[in-house]
Amino acid sequence: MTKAITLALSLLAVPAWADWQVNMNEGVTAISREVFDLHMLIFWICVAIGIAVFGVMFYSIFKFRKSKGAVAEHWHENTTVEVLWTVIPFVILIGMAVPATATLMDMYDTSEADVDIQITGYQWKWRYQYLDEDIDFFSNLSTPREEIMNAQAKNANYLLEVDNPLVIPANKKVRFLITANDVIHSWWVPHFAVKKDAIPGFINESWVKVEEPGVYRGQCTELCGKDHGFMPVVVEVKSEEDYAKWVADQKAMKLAMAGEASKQFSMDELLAKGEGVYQATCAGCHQLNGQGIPGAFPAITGSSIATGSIDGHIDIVVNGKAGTAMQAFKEQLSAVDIAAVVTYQRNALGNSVGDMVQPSAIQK
Amino acid sequence: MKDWLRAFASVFAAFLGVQSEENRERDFQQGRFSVFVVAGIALTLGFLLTVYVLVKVVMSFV
Ligand code: HEC
Ligand SMILES: [Cu+2]
Repeated sequence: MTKAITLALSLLAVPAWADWQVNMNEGVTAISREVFDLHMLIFWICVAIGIAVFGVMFYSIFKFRKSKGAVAEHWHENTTVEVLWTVIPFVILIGMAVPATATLMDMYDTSEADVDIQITGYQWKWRYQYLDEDIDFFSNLSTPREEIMNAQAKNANYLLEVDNPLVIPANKKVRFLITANDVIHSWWVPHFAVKKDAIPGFINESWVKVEEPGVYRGQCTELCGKDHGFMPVVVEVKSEEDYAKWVADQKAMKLAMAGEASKQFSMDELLAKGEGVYQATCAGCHQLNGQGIPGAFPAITGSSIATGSIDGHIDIVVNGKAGTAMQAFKEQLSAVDIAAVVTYQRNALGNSVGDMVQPSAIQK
Repeated sequence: MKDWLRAFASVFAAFLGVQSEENRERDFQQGRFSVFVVAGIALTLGFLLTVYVLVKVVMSFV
Protein backbone atom coordinates (compact mmCIF):
# COMPACT_ATOMS: atom_id res chain seq x y z
CA MET A 1 0.00 0.00 0.00
CA THR A 2 2.69 2.50 0.96
CA LYS A 3 4.51 1.40 -2.15
CA ALA A 4 1.49 2.25 -4.28
CA ILE A 5 1.16 5.66 -2.64
CA THR A 6 4.83 6.47 -3.18
CA LEU A 7 4.51 5.43 -6.79
CA ALA A 8 1.42 7.58 -7.29
CA LEU A 9 3.12 10.55 -5.67
CA SER A 10 6.28 10.14 -7.72
CA LEU A 11 4.20 10.02 -10.90
CA LEU A 12 2.56 13.32 -9.92
CA ALA A 13 5.97 14.80 -9.28
CA VAL A 14 7.40 13.93 -12.69
CA PRO A 15 8.13 17.37 -14.18
CA ALA A 16 8.02 15.94 -17.69
CA TRP A 17 4.20 16.14 -17.68
CA ALA A 18 4.53 19.87 -18.19
CA ASP A 19 6.65 19.36 -21.34
CA TRP A 20 4.23 16.94 -22.90
CA GLN A 21 4.00 17.86 -26.54
CA VAL A 22 2.45 15.51 -29.03
CA ASN A 23 2.15 17.79 -32.03
CA MET A 24 5.04 18.56 -34.35
CA ASN A 25 6.86 21.78 -33.49
CA GLU A 26 6.47 25.05 -35.28
CA GLY A 27 10.16 25.62 -35.76
CA VAL A 28 12.09 28.85 -36.15
CA THR A 29 11.99 29.70 -39.86
CA ALA A 30 9.33 31.06 -42.20
CA ILE A 31 9.38 27.75 -44.06
CA SER A 32 9.00 25.65 -40.92
CA ARG A 33 5.97 27.71 -39.89
CA GLU A 34 4.53 27.29 -43.37
CA VAL A 35 5.03 23.53 -43.07
CA PHE A 36 3.41 23.57 -39.64
CA ASP A 37 0.37 25.49 -40.90
CA LEU A 38 0.04 23.10 -43.82
CA HIS A 39 0.23 20.17 -41.42
CA MET A 40 -2.52 21.66 -39.24
CA LEU A 41 -4.75 22.46 -42.24
CA ILE A 42 -4.52 18.89 -43.52
CA PHE A 43 -4.91 17.52 -40.02
CA TRP A 44 -8.22 19.37 -39.57
CA ILE A 45 -9.43 18.28 -43.03
CA CYS A 46 -8.74 14.68 -41.94
CA VAL A 47 -10.58 15.26 -38.65
CA ALA A 48 -13.63 16.63 -40.51
CA ILE A 49 -13.66 13.70 -42.91
CA GLY A 50 -13.25 11.27 -40.02
CA ILE A 51 -16.16 12.79 -38.10
CA ALA A 52 -18.41 12.78 -41.17
CA VAL A 53 -17.64 9.22 -42.22
CA PHE A 54 -17.69 7.62 -38.76
CA GLY A 55 -20.68 9.77 -37.74
CA VAL A 56 -22.80 8.45 -40.60
CA MET A 57 -21.54 4.94 -39.93
CA PHE A 58 -22.27 4.88 -36.20
CA TYR A 59 -25.61 6.62 -36.67
CA SER A 60 -26.67 4.02 -39.24
CA ILE A 61 -25.50 1.14 -37.09
CA PHE A 62 -27.50 2.47 -34.17
CA LYS A 63 -30.62 3.68 -35.95
CA PHE A 64 -31.06 0.62 -38.16
CA ARG A 65 -30.19 -2.07 -35.65
CA LYS A 66 -31.69 -5.53 -35.96
CA SER A 67 -33.53 -5.39 -32.64
CA LYS A 68 -35.61 -2.54 -34.10
CA GLY A 69 -36.61 -4.79 -36.95
CA ALA A 70 -34.31 -3.36 -39.62
CA VAL A 71 -33.93 -5.58 -42.69
CA ALA A 72 -30.85 -5.43 -44.91
CA GLU A 73 -31.32 -4.04 -48.40
CA HIS A 74 -29.87 -6.29 -51.15
CA TRP A 75 -28.89 -4.00 -53.97
CA HIS A 76 -25.75 -4.33 -55.99
CA GLU A 77 -25.02 -1.38 -58.19
CA ASN A 78 -25.44 2.36 -57.86
CA THR A 79 -23.36 4.23 -60.38
CA THR A 80 -24.25 7.67 -59.04
CA VAL A 81 -23.04 6.89 -55.53
CA GLU A 82 -19.91 5.22 -56.86
CA VAL A 83 -19.06 8.22 -59.01
CA LEU A 84 -19.67 10.53 -56.05
CA TRP A 85 -17.38 8.66 -53.66
CA THR A 86 -14.69 8.67 -56.32
CA VAL A 87 -14.98 12.29 -57.36
CA ILE A 88 -15.25 13.80 -53.86
CA PRO A 89 -11.90 12.40 -52.60
CA PHE A 90 -10.35 13.41 -55.92
CA VAL A 91 -11.47 16.99 -55.45
CA ILE A 92 -10.33 17.02 -51.80
CA LEU A 93 -6.88 15.69 -52.79
CA ILE A 94 -6.47 18.29 -55.52
CA GLY A 95 -7.57 20.95 -53.05
CA MET A 96 -4.88 19.83 -50.58
CA ALA A 97 -2.26 19.70 -53.33
CA VAL A 98 -2.61 23.43 -54.02
CA PRO A 99 -1.17 24.77 -50.71
CA ALA A 100 1.24 21.80 -50.50
CA THR A 101 2.69 22.65 -53.90
CA ALA A 102 3.08 26.30 -52.94
CA THR A 103 5.07 25.30 -49.82
CA LEU A 104 7.20 22.80 -51.73
CA MET A 105 8.10 25.41 -54.31
CA ASP A 106 9.32 27.72 -51.53
CA MET A 107 11.35 24.90 -49.98
CA TYR A 108 13.05 24.08 -53.27
CA ASP A 109 13.94 27.67 -54.10
CA THR A 110 17.64 27.60 -53.20
CA SER A 111 18.51 30.56 -55.41
CA GLU A 112 20.35 33.69 -54.22
CA ALA A 113 21.90 32.21 -51.09
CA ASP A 114 24.27 34.32 -48.98
CA VAL A 115 26.28 31.38 -47.61
CA ASP A 116 26.92 27.98 -49.24
CA ILE A 117 27.81 25.02 -47.05
CA GLN A 118 28.52 21.49 -48.21
CA ILE A 119 27.33 18.86 -45.74
CA THR A 120 28.81 15.36 -46.10
CA GLY A 121 27.65 12.33 -44.11
CA TYR A 122 30.34 9.91 -42.93
CA GLN A 123 30.09 6.77 -40.80
CA TRP A 124 29.41 8.26 -38.21
CA LYS A 125 29.92 12.00 -38.23
CA TRP A 126 29.12 15.03 -40.33
CA ARG A 127 31.57 17.16 -42.30
CA TYR A 128 30.86 20.84 -42.92
CA GLN A 129 32.66 22.72 -45.71
CA TYR A 130 32.06 26.44 -46.13
CA LEU A 131 32.44 26.85 -49.86
CA ASP A 132 33.33 30.57 -49.88
CA GLU A 133 35.39 30.63 -46.70
CA ASP A 134 37.95 27.80 -46.81
CA ILE A 135 36.52 26.46 -43.54
CA ASP A 136 36.26 22.68 -43.34
CA PHE A 137 35.70 20.57 -40.23
CA PHE A 138 34.14 17.40 -38.86
CA SER A 139 31.43 17.32 -36.24
CA ASN A 140 31.65 14.35 -33.84
CA LEU A 141 29.40 13.23 -31.02
CA SER A 142 30.72 14.63 -27.74
CA THR A 143 28.54 12.79 -25.20
CA PRO A 144 30.94 11.11 -22.73
CA ARG A 145 31.25 7.32 -23.02
CA GLU A 146 30.41 7.02 -19.31
CA GLU A 147 26.92 8.40 -19.94
CA ILE A 148 26.38 6.03 -22.85
CA MET A 149 27.48 3.09 -20.69
CA ASN A 150 25.12 4.15 -17.87
CA ALA A 151 28.05 4.76 -15.52
CA GLN A 152 27.03 8.41 -15.20
CA ALA A 153 23.75 10.30 -15.21
CA LYS A 154 22.72 11.44 -18.69
CA ASN A 155 22.73 15.18 -19.39
CA ALA A 156 19.84 17.05 -21.01
CA ASN A 157 21.43 16.96 -24.47
CA TYR A 158 22.39 13.31 -24.27
CA LEU A 159 23.37 12.09 -27.78
CA LEU A 160 22.42 15.51 -29.16
CA GLU A 161 25.77 17.26 -28.58
CA VAL A 162 28.90 17.54 -30.75
CA ASP A 163 32.44 18.85 -30.50
CA ASN A 164 32.15 21.28 -33.46
CA PRO A 165 28.63 22.46 -34.26
CA LEU A 166 27.70 23.85 -37.65
CA VAL A 167 27.73 27.65 -37.26
CA ILE A 168 25.53 29.84 -39.48
CA PRO A 169 24.56 33.53 -39.44
CA ALA A 170 21.05 34.63 -38.47
CA ASN A 171 18.85 36.38 -41.04
CA LYS A 172 20.91 35.19 -43.99
CA LYS A 173 19.86 32.64 -46.58
CA VAL A 174 22.13 29.65 -46.05
CA ARG A 175 22.17 27.00 -48.75
CA PHE A 176 23.10 23.41 -47.89
CA LEU A 177 24.57 21.04 -50.48
CA ILE A 178 24.04 17.64 -48.92
CA THR A 179 25.88 14.46 -49.90
CA ALA A 180 27.59 11.44 -48.31
CA ASN A 181 30.93 9.72 -48.41
CA ASP A 182 30.09 6.09 -47.71
CA VAL A 183 26.45 5.05 -47.28
CA ILE A 184 23.14 6.96 -47.34
CA HIS A 185 22.61 9.27 -44.36
CA SER A 186 20.02 11.97 -43.86
CA TRP A 187 20.48 15.42 -42.36
CA TRP A 188 17.60 16.51 -40.18
CA VAL A 189 16.92 19.56 -38.01
CA PRO A 190 13.24 19.54 -36.96
CA HIS A 191 13.19 23.25 -36.02
CA PHE A 192 14.25 24.17 -39.58
CA ALA A 193 11.84 21.70 -41.22
CA VAL A 194 14.86 20.48 -43.17
CA LYS A 195 15.29 16.75 -43.66
CA LYS A 196 17.32 15.75 -46.71
CA ASP A 197 18.86 12.47 -47.73
CA ALA A 198 22.65 12.51 -48.01
CA ILE A 199 23.45 10.13 -50.87
CA PRO A 200 26.94 9.23 -52.13
CA GLY A 201 27.41 10.63 -55.65
CA PHE A 202 24.40 12.95 -55.48
CA ILE A 203 24.02 16.47 -54.16
CA ASN A 204 20.67 17.41 -52.63
CA GLU A 205 19.97 21.05 -51.94
CA SER A 206 18.12 22.75 -49.14
CA TRP A 207 18.20 26.09 -47.38
CA VAL A 208 17.34 27.95 -44.18
CA LYS A 209 16.96 31.50 -43.01
CA VAL A 210 16.78 31.56 -39.22
CA GLU A 211 15.65 34.75 -37.52
CA GLU A 212 16.71 34.10 -33.92
CA PRO A 213 20.25 33.16 -32.82
CA GLY A 214 20.27 29.95 -30.81
CA VAL A 215 21.26 26.29 -30.79
CA TYR A 216 19.17 23.81 -32.74
CA ARG A 217 19.60 20.05 -32.62
CA GLY A 218 18.79 17.16 -34.90
CA GLN A 219 19.93 13.70 -35.91
CA CYS A 220 20.93 11.46 -38.76
CA THR A 221 17.64 10.01 -39.89
CA GLU A 222 18.60 7.29 -42.34
CA LEU A 223 19.80 4.03 -40.78
CA CYS A 224 23.50 4.05 -41.68
CA GLY A 225 25.17 1.36 -39.60
CA LYS A 226 26.34 0.66 -36.07
CA ASP A 227 26.58 4.24 -34.77
CA HIS A 228 23.63 5.71 -36.66
CA GLY A 229 22.21 6.96 -33.35
CA PHE A 230 25.53 8.56 -32.45
CA MET A 231 25.95 11.18 -35.18
CA PRO A 232 23.74 14.09 -34.13
CA VAL A 233 23.42 17.43 -35.87
CA VAL A 234 23.95 20.62 -33.87
CA VAL A 235 23.53 24.03 -35.49
CA GLU A 236 24.55 27.22 -33.76
CA VAL A 237 22.90 30.30 -35.23
CA LYS A 238 24.91 33.43 -34.45
CA SER A 239 24.16 37.10 -34.99
CA GLU A 240 25.93 38.56 -38.01
CA GLU A 241 28.74 40.15 -35.96
CA ASP A 242 29.32 36.99 -33.92
CA TYR A 243 29.37 34.95 -37.09
CA ALA A 244 31.99 37.20 -38.69
CA LYS A 245 34.07 36.88 -35.54
CA TRP A 246 33.72 33.09 -35.59
CA VAL A 247 34.87 32.95 -39.22
CA ALA A 248 37.94 35.03 -38.35
CA ASP A 249 38.69 32.77 -35.37
CA GLN A 250 38.46 29.66 -37.53
CA LYS A 251 40.96 31.10 -39.99
CA ALA A 252 43.37 32.09 -37.22
CA MET A 253 43.10 28.58 -35.78
CA LYS A 254 43.90 27.08 -39.13
CA LEU A 255 47.09 29.16 -39.38
CA ALA A 256 48.08 28.17 -35.85
CA MET A 257 47.55 24.51 -36.70
CA ALA A 258 49.76 24.77 -39.76
CA GLY A 259 52.48 26.13 -37.46
CA GLU A 260 52.03 23.24 -35.00
CA ALA A 261 52.67 20.68 -37.73
CA SER A 262 56.31 21.68 -38.04
CA LYS A 263 56.95 21.55 -34.27
CA GLN A 264 58.84 18.69 -32.58
CA PHE A 265 56.77 16.78 -30.01
CA SER A 266 57.92 14.61 -27.13
CA MET A 267 56.63 11.05 -26.70
CA ASP A 268 54.50 12.12 -23.72
CA GLU A 269 52.89 14.98 -25.62
CA LEU A 270 52.04 12.68 -28.52
CA LEU A 271 50.62 10.00 -26.21
CA ALA A 272 48.44 12.48 -24.34
CA LYS A 273 47.09 14.01 -27.58
CA GLY A 274 46.78 10.59 -29.19
CA GLU A 275 44.59 9.23 -26.42
CA GLY A 276 42.06 12.01 -27.00
CA VAL A 277 42.07 11.48 -30.76
CA TYR A 278 41.74 7.71 -30.35
CA GLN A 279 38.76 7.98 -28.02
CA ALA A 280 36.96 10.54 -30.18
CA THR A 281 37.71 9.10 -33.61
CA CYS A 282 38.76 5.44 -33.49
CA ALA A 283 37.22 3.87 -30.38
CA GLY A 284 33.77 3.70 -31.99
CA CYS A 285 35.08 0.79 -34.05
CA HIS A 286 38.32 -0.42 -32.45
CA GLN A 287 36.86 0.04 -28.93
CA LEU A 288 38.23 1.96 -25.95
CA ASN A 289 40.46 -0.88 -24.81
CA GLY A 290 41.78 -1.58 -28.33
CA GLN A 291 40.22 -5.04 -28.54
CA GLY A 292 38.02 -4.25 -31.55
CA ILE A 293 34.92 -6.31 -32.31
CA PRO A 294 35.82 -9.74 -33.64
CA GLY A 295 34.54 -10.26 -37.16
CA ALA A 296 33.92 -6.54 -37.77
CA PHE A 297 36.73 -4.35 -36.47
CA PRO A 298 40.23 -5.76 -35.81
CA ALA A 299 41.95 -5.34 -32.46
CA ILE A 300 44.70 -2.73 -32.26
CA THR A 301 46.24 -4.57 -29.32
CA GLY A 302 48.77 -6.96 -30.84
CA SER A 303 47.77 -5.99 -34.41
CA SER A 304 50.48 -6.88 -36.91
CA ILE A 305 50.08 -3.45 -38.52
CA ALA A 306 50.07 -1.43 -35.29
CA THR A 307 53.12 -3.31 -34.02
CA GLY A 308 54.82 -3.71 -37.42
CA SER A 309 56.57 -1.17 -39.65
CA ILE A 310 55.50 2.36 -38.75
CA ASP A 311 55.16 3.33 -42.43
CA GLY A 312 52.49 0.69 -42.97
CA HIS A 313 50.68 1.85 -39.85
CA ILE A 314 50.73 5.50 -40.97
CA ASP A 315 49.60 4.48 -44.43
CA ILE A 316 46.43 2.69 -43.31
CA VAL A 317 45.45 5.63 -41.07
CA VAL A 318 46.17 8.29 -43.72
CA ASN A 319 44.76 6.46 -46.74
CA GLY A 320 42.38 3.94 -45.18
CA LYS A 321 41.76 0.59 -46.77
CA ALA A 322 39.51 0.66 -49.82
CA GLY A 323 36.38 -1.41 -49.57
CA THR A 324 36.39 -1.62 -45.76
CA ALA A 325 35.02 0.57 -42.99
CA MET A 326 38.60 1.72 -42.34
CA GLN A 327 38.35 5.12 -43.99
CA ALA A 328 41.11 7.53 -45.04
CA PHE A 329 41.66 9.90 -42.14
CA LYS A 330 43.81 12.42 -44.02
CA GLU A 331 40.82 14.70 -44.57
CA GLN A 332 39.50 14.39 -41.05
CA LEU A 333 42.59 14.67 -38.91
CA SER A 334 45.47 17.13 -38.87
CA ALA A 335 49.05 15.90 -39.27
CA VAL A 336 49.47 16.43 -35.51
CA ASP A 337 46.44 14.27 -34.73
CA ILE A 338 47.58 11.48 -37.06
CA ALA A 339 51.11 11.44 -35.64
CA ALA A 340 49.67 11.41 -32.13
CA VAL A 341 47.15 8.64 -32.68
CA VAL A 342 49.64 6.40 -34.48
CA THR A 343 52.18 6.90 -31.68
CA TYR A 344 49.43 6.21 -29.15
CA GLN A 345 48.33 2.96 -30.82
CA ARG A 346 51.91 1.69 -30.91
CA ASN A 347 52.64 2.49 -27.27
CA ALA A 348 49.34 2.04 -25.43
CA LEU A 349 46.32 -0.28 -25.53
CA GLY A 350 48.70 -3.09 -24.55
CA ASN A 351 51.25 -2.37 -27.29
CA SER A 352 54.80 -1.20 -26.54
CA VAL A 353 56.70 -0.86 -29.79
CA GLY A 354 58.68 2.12 -28.44
CA ASP A 355 58.90 4.26 -31.62
CA MET A 356 57.06 7.46 -32.53
CA VAL A 357 56.38 9.72 -35.51
CA GLN A 358 56.52 13.51 -35.78
CA PRO A 359 53.71 15.46 -37.53
CA SER A 360 56.23 16.78 -40.06
CA ALA A 361 56.77 13.20 -41.28
CA ILE A 362 53.08 12.66 -42.12
CA GLN A 363 52.63 12.87 -45.91
CA LYS A 364 49.04 13.68 -46.68
CA MET B 1 -19.53 7.42 -84.94
CA LYS B 2 -21.71 6.30 -82.06
CA ASP B 3 -19.28 3.40 -81.55
CA TRP B 4 -16.44 5.86 -81.03
CA LEU B 5 -18.33 8.08 -78.63
CA ARG B 6 -19.32 5.07 -76.56
CA ALA B 7 -15.75 3.72 -76.56
CA PHE B 8 -14.38 7.04 -75.32
CA ALA B 9 -17.06 7.24 -72.64
CA SER B 10 -16.24 3.71 -71.48
CA VAL B 11 -12.50 4.33 -71.40
CA PHE B 12 -13.14 7.48 -69.41
CA ALA B 13 -15.28 5.47 -66.99
CA ALA B 14 -12.39 3.00 -66.69
CA PHE B 15 -10.03 5.88 -65.80
CA LEU B 16 -12.42 6.84 -63.02
CA GLY B 17 -12.84 3.20 -62.01
CA VAL B 18 -16.64 3.16 -62.15
CA GLN B 19 -18.79 1.52 -64.83
CA SER B 20 -22.35 0.25 -64.88
CA GLU B 21 -23.07 -3.42 -65.57
CA GLU B 22 -25.42 -2.45 -68.39
CA ASN B 23 -22.71 -0.53 -70.28
CA ARG B 24 -20.16 -3.24 -69.66
CA GLU B 25 -22.38 -5.88 -71.28
CA ARG B 26 -23.13 -3.60 -74.21
CA ASP B 27 -19.39 -2.97 -74.77
CA PHE B 28 -18.54 -6.66 -74.66
CA GLN B 29 -21.33 -7.65 -77.05
CA GLN B 30 -21.18 -4.85 -79.61
CA GLY B 31 -17.85 -3.08 -79.15
CA ARG B 32 -14.85 -3.52 -81.40
CA PHE B 33 -11.53 -4.24 -79.74
CA SER B 34 -9.48 -1.92 -81.99
CA VAL B 35 -11.76 1.03 -81.24
CA PHE B 36 -11.15 0.60 -77.50
CA VAL B 37 -7.38 0.34 -77.98
CA VAL B 38 -7.29 3.58 -79.97
CA ALA B 39 -9.56 5.34 -77.47
CA GLY B 40 -7.40 4.09 -74.59
CA ILE B 41 -4.17 5.36 -76.13
CA ALA B 42 -5.74 8.69 -77.06
CA LEU B 43 -7.10 9.30 -73.57
CA THR B 44 -3.78 8.26 -71.97
CA LEU B 45 -1.96 10.79 -74.13
CA GLY B 46 -4.59 13.36 -73.24
CA PHE B 47 -4.04 12.68 -69.54
CA LEU B 48 -0.26 13.02 -69.86
CA LEU B 49 -0.66 16.25 -71.79
CA THR B 50 -3.02 17.63 -69.12
CA VAL B 51 -0.53 16.87 -66.33
CA TYR B 52 2.29 18.36 -68.39
CA VAL B 53 0.41 21.59 -69.12
CA LEU B 54 -0.76 21.84 -65.51
CA VAL B 55 2.82 21.59 -64.22
CA LYS B 56 3.96 24.17 -66.77
CA VAL B 57 1.23 26.57 -65.74
CA VAL B 58 1.95 26.11 -62.01
CA MET B 59 5.68 26.53 -62.54
CA SER B 60 5.13 29.76 -64.45
CA PHE B 61 4.08 31.31 -61.11
CA VAL B 62 7.51 30.65 -59.55
C1 HEC C 1 34.22 2.98 -38.98
C2 HEC C 1 35.03 2.04 -38.26
C3 HEC C 1 36.51 2.38 -38.05
C4 HEC C 1 37.02 3.52 -37.49
C5 HEC C 1 36.28 4.74 -36.96
C6 HEC C 1 38.44 3.31 -37.46
N1 HEC C 1 38.78 2.12 -38.01
FE1 HEC C 1 40.65 1.36 -38.17
N2 HEC C 1 39.89 -0.28 -39.08
C7 HEC C 1 38.56 -0.54 -39.33
C8 HEC C 1 38.45 -1.79 -40.06
C9 HEC C 1 37.15 -2.44 -40.53
C10 HEC C 1 39.76 -2.28 -40.22
C11 HEC C 1 40.18 -3.56 -40.94
C12 HEC C 1 40.42 -3.26 -42.41
C13 HEC C 1 40.81 -4.51 -43.14
O1 HEC C 1 39.86 -5.24 -43.51
O2 HEC C 1 41.98 -4.74 -43.28
C14 HEC C 1 40.63 -1.33 -39.57
C15 HEC C 1 42.00 -1.49 -39.49
C16 HEC C 1 42.84 -0.63 -38.83
C17 HEC C 1 44.23 -0.87 -38.60
C18 HEC C 1 44.97 -2.11 -39.03
C19 HEC C 1 44.69 -3.18 -38.00
C20 HEC C 1 45.06 -4.57 -38.49
O3 HEC C 1 45.75 -5.26 -37.76
O4 HEC C 1 44.59 -4.94 -39.59
C21 HEC C 1 44.74 0.22 -37.93
C22 HEC C 1 46.16 0.42 -37.46
C23 HEC C 1 43.64 1.12 -37.75
N3 HEC C 1 42.51 0.58 -38.28
C24 HEC C 1 43.76 2.36 -37.13
C25 HEC C 1 42.70 3.22 -36.92
C26 HEC C 1 42.83 4.54 -36.37
C27 HEC C 1 44.13 5.19 -35.90
C28 HEC C 1 41.60 5.05 -36.31
C29 HEC C 1 41.17 6.42 -35.79
C30 HEC C 1 41.84 7.57 -36.33
C31 HEC C 1 40.68 4.07 -36.87
N4 HEC C 1 41.38 2.96 -37.23
C32 HEC C 1 39.32 4.26 -36.95
C33 HEC C 1 37.48 0.27 -38.96
C34 HEC C 1 37.61 1.51 -38.38
CU1 LIG D 1 24.12 8.49 -40.66
